[in-house]
Amino acid sequence: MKKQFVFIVAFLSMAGMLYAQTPKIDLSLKNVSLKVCLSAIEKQCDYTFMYDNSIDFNQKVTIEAKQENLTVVLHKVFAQTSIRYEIVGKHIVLKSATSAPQVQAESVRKLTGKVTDSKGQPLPGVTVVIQGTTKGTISDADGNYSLQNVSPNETLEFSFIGMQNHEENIGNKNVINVALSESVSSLNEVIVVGYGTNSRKNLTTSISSVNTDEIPKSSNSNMSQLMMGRAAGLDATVSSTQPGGNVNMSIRGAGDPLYIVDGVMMPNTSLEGGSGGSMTVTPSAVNRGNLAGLNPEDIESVEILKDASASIYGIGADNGVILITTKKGKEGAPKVTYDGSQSVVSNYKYLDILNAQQYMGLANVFNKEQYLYNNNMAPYGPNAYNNSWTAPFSDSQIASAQTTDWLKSVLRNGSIANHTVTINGGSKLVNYYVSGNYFNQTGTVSNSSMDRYELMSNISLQLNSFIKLTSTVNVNRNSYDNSTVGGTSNGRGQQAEGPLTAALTYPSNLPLKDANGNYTVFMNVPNPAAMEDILDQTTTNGAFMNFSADFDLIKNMLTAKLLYGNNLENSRRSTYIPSDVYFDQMYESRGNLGYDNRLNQTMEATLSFKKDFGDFLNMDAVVGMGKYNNNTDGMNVAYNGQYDAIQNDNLSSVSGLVAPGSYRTADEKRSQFIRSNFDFLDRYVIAFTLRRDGTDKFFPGKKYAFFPSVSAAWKVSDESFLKDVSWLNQLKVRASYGVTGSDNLGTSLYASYGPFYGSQIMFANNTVKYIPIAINSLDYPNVSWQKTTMKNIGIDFSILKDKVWGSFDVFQNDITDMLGTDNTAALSMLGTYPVNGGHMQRKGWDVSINSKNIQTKDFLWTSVLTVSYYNSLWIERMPNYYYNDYEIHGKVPSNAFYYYQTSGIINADMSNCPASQPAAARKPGYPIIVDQNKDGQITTADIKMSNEVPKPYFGFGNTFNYKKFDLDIFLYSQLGIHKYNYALSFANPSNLANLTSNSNHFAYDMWNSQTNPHGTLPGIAWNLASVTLPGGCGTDIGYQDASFVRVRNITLGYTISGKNLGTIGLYVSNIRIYIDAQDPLTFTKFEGSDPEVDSNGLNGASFPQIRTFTVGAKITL
Amino acid sequence: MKNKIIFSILIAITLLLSSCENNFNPQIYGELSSTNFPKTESDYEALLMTCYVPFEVNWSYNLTGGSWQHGFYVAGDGCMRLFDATSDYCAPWMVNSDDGAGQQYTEGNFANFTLFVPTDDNNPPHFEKIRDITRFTEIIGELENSTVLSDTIKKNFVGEARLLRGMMMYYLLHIYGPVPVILNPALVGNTVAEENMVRPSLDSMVVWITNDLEYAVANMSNSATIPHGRYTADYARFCLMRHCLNEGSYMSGYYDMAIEMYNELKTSGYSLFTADGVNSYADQFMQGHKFNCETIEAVSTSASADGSAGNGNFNPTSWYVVPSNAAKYADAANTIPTPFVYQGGGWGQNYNVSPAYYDTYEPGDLRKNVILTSYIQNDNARTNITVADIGVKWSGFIINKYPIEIPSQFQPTDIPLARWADVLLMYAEAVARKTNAVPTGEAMQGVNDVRARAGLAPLSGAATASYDGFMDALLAERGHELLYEGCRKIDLIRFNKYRHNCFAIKGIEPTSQYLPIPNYAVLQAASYGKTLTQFFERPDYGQDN
Repeated sequence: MKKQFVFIVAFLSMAGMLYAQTPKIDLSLKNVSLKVCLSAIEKQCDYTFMYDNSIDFNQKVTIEAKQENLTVVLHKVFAQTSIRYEIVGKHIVLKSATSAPQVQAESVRKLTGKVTDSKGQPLPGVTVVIQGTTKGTISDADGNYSLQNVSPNETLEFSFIGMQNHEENIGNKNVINVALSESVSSLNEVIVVGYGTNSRKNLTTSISSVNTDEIPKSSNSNMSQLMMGRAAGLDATVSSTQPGGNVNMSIRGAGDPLYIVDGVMMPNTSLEGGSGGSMTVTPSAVNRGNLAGLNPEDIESVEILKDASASIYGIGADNGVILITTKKGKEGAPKVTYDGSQSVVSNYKYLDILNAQQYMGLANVFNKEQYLYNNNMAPYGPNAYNNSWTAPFSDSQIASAQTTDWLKSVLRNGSIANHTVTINGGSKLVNYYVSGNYFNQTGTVSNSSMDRYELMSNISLQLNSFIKLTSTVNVNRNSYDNSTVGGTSNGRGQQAEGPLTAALTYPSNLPLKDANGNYTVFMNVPNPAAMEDILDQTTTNGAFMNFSADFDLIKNMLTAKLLYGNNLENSRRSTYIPSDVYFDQMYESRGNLGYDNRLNQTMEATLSFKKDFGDFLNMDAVVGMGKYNNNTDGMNVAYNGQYDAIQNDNLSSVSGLVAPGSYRTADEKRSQFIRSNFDFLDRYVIAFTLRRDGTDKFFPGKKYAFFPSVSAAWKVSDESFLKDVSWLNQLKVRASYGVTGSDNLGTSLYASYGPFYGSQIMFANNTVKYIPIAINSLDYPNVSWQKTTMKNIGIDFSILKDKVWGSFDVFQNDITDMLGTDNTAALSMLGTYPVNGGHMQRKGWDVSINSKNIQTKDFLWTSVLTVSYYNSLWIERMPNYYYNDYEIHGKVPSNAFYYYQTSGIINADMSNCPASQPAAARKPGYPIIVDQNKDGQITTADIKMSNEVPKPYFGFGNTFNYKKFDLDIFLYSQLGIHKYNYALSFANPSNLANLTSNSNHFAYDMWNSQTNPHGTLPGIAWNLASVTLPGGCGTDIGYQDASFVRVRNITLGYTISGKNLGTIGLYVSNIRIYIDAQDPLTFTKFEGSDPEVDSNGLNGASFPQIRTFTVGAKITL
Repeated sequence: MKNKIIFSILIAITLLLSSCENNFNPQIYGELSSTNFPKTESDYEALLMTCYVPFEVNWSYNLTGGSWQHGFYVAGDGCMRLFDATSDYCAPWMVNSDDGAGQQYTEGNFANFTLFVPTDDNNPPHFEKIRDITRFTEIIGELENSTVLSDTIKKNFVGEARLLRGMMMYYLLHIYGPVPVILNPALVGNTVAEENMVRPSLDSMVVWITNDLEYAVANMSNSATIPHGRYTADYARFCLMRHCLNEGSYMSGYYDMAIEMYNELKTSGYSLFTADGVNSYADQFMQGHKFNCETIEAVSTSASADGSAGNGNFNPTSWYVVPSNAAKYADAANTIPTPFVYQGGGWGQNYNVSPAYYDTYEPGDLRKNVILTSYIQNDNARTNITVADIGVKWSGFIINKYPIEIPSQFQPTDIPLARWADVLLMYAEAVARKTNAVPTGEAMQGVNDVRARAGLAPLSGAATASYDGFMDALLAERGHELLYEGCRKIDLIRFNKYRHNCFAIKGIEPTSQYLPIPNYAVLQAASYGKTLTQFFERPDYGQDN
């Protein structure tokens, strides 16, 4: 199956040199390799060498030439070798003497053409041969080729790695232009696996591969933002839409995966400092993703290891592994591309809040309801209304009220500018990929923005025939304005709400500023507009530096690699509340300045062995060792009493409380591992891996553990009995079993004394201070690894001439000896203790299908579909788990949601109130609790449970290419999850009745006896009755199906190249202009602000969902 | 080829070196360990100080590393909610309430408190504090085993720790009835002991508390160098006196011990604060009169606190008692300040004084001045909210005993724990209970001194005519004098009038005498094979009608 690899060394032909004279060459080389000599010749002429790998380029030649004709020089050079050469057009085709005899050079006719990819990008280096012969050529840097002496009955065959072979009859044509489509067949796709690569066809495990080149990236700052719906088995959902916002990444229902970038273990969280804790109590709105310094444009591919394929990473790989490979330099002339785009960002419709008249009217209604309820008047009690209630707002007040749109003072339109320049090229000795990126985003909420400068360089040097050095350097600087959006922190209530939450709370009839020009204050809620003056900025500097050396010990058999990877991040967060902003119930200047550092180091040495034993066995193996160190440290100073003009720039002028803090942590892991693949008869593949991992966290004797895996594949379609089934191109059955682990406990297992969560004891007006210190943990020598056993069975297939291909996998992961903190015995002075216990199980399946639906000369339509499903169960809880009365013991969904089902609202005459309704809840406006078991009373037996795991969710993409146009439409979904519509916590009868908060349009659905006797949401009795239902379980009120299907991207591109570029073509080889709409449409029944974005608990408003419209251009020089 | 061999060797060496398993211990920074702590007297004092954590006033604390807890003296969920809101003088919180536990406390509706779980930061069950008692026991053990401390210092420290442990047990007894505890340091960490989830007898629990308090009385000091707020021998005497009074009806010698404590306290020279004339009662709580002649113990606070456990004590009561729509100024032009000018509205009127209870004050009782019977609403018209709006705009009157004095959300009003006025009333009660008769002489004089400061005449008529009449008057007197000082429910239960008074004034009978132990703990006990009785009531509760 070994393909004949053909290499090309091609350089740009100078435009206009159509009729070049035989060039003159100057050379003086002594005993240099043929390779060096040829490349020197190429530099002096516009001819390119074409050769196959039968040529030995290491043989030494000597040449002395002064202004000699090319032909003379060639003759002199090749006379020293056994190589024959032939000049065909601008190509010099080399053959070893043993090659088949050359075709006669008698010119019959000339054929020319251009080879491009499906997007119209020129493809250099494409092999063009006449079928059945060795006659042929190779396309040049612009994709052009020419052949002489062809005849009409011959067929041209175009081939290129990664592209589908293409055949074309010559006939009478003089020009044949060809667009090659990507080798969609997964057959030869190269997949990055742990410590190496493998071809897709030999893979024994379940790995999803995402080619990020195919995903619109312009408006995304982070790799994770590209992943929604793109890989089967990966559940990527947007957690926050803030600039740099986090995406929850879950492989088959597990938690945060392990991230490996170019072999280096990377943190799976962003580095964020605090904002001053109880001193500033600003909401902790920061929810950003990891790998913030990595420009998605620099990523070559993302592989998702879903099953035993993760075992080779042992520690921390229990949630699966995401392998990211960055772009490397490719041999060839410098290729410079510029990709620039500009986006506008707008918010989805946020909550529909009430205007002044609506608010005042509804406040009157519910105030009266409360009066009736509290005085036992009809319909709530036997008493008749006594006409003595007075409305909080008079008719004239309502009529004259002015509406303030508080949301408008917080929400706005945003924008994104994204510019990337890449330079890529190299020779046999040096390959380089260098890129620079500037990313600037203005968020759609006041005080939110992001700014990134990034420089990436990937350089490899072939030092000599057996040492290759590679260095990757990524330096980046990210600056953010952190909007204080979100719920409250540090146990505060609405006095410390973020501006968006406050904007939903502020009544619309309140003016922005009072008569004196000061911001109004509603109760103790901070003014949403005034909060714009609160400063909260983060600047993070990152340096990812990776150095490796590859040693070719025995050619094509034994190689060694040393890797040192280093990820360093420094973050500075500066928070300041000016003295004139009312926040947390006071006007006082408060601030916090903090610095946080983290360092992740990976040191690995590996030896790789690869050998073919004839047709019987191909094997490869990797053995290695690694050491992994993580260090963090940081410090902060929180304070109050500062000059607003100085803020955090000089803390020596602080007059109030000063609370400093600092920390430092270090942990280390050590590993030995082996991975081996055996491919028998090109049909049966067996792979073994074993990793021995040690961590410093555990006690001696518990530090190390083994993580084995075994997997096998049977390439059924290569069996003789299926060889003749024409519609079946590939069928492979595989199975895997592997163990991974976790040491992720977060607490020390060693006894210590320490202060208690910052407690201090103070006397004498807080002037005498003691730091209380006592035992805060004991020795736990028996605690050790958590183990995850991953089992997977799958098939890979390709049918109908590789028009449809894909994979299907079923899996079961068992997490045993779960490492966690369990409740201690009731009288223990420590509330929890670390323990191995419990057993959780996740089962499911995922499928990915790719298809080429229609392919004609000018038109190509391809589709990709991923569908994923998992279920997650507790098999066994932690030993001392506190059960609620109603909770199911034993096997139970790990995302169980328990609730009383409600069915309508009790009406005013209580005629629809069932006998089973609990006594205290028998009030008009109270929801009717469903008596599930019809026993005439509401007990815990009536509680329902729903398993809150997503139903099978999908990603679905369609790409259409028509001539120079390309159109891509991608959808993704999240189905079957229920979420609380937190708009309802603002639309609350009690808040309206007591004038403590504005409301929104859901208030019109709330039952009341005066204006809405058929309301569908609970009335004020729901608040005032203060009923705790049996077992303390809640109801389904407010929970809605948060299923959605979202159109993630619609992208339309147009490529201009070749002649169409006109005079620009002198400088530019290709321009692609595109427009992209990201998240333009969402289909959902969910009525809250968004079914996907985390709502930050239920008491805080989160960033709204956004739409992004982008215009951009990618220019290739 | 030579080079390749050299490189192979180099790689082999690298692999070997990295496999070295030395120096593979965890790096733990920022903590102390048993090898370097405690070593000095101040180390042991730091250990001792841990026992103060639940008695500090901040939003919450965490001594167990598990769930968060609320201290005893924070208005949100401490004694004020447990023993004042549940008592006769607080009307049910029905207007703008929290629709939950806060409302249910005021309704005397404890049935649903069985559902409290430790993971709920809003309503963490105080029951988890039994773990803190085990910790205090561990600390007492460490103090006792110290070879560094002098005998006097050691006894002093142990006494202080036992006073704090005694008070933890005292409060838990009055929240739940007797609860399981570990008092022997040797049993800390012993799984059998730590799973022994069985209620001890009332007598046992009472004796354990007495033992701790007695040890504290005998070994603590009253030194003038003790900073305000740190506990003294006199505070131990006060606590023991109250405890003996509570349990004296069935424990022999307890009334004598209470009287003995009075006599010992008397030697320290406390007196009623009268320096401000007719305003003396109200003024004694204000920040200008911290630790006055009447103060035996108080939580010493300042405005430098910020609610976190690390920045000291403050008094947050105003946030829980001022209606959220209270205005800062009485007029639209903002020229006439209200009592809430520095704060505006609170978070909702969690606690109030019911108008019915207000009516129990004798005419001319100056102590009524700490209750506001109207307030100005923060609307354009600046509506005056009065008794007519009870049940519509507010649930009851505003308790203004800890007034807002400075423009800060962290008021520096000390929180009284032990006052001489209380001692005088307790002394009279101890003498009465011991003799089963109306007291005379010094004991009666003390009561009348307290009344005199409130502008009232000496007790007369029914109050002096019979023992029962006197006891009724004394209970009323205690309510008026000690309003919202965190002891009312305990007093009512001592007089066995808890159910009676609640029904008489609020029209509501509490669902049980004590709070139930939450279900999670009962289930946990069952998992250890133990029966933990969920509800407890005193033998004479049946006579509380």
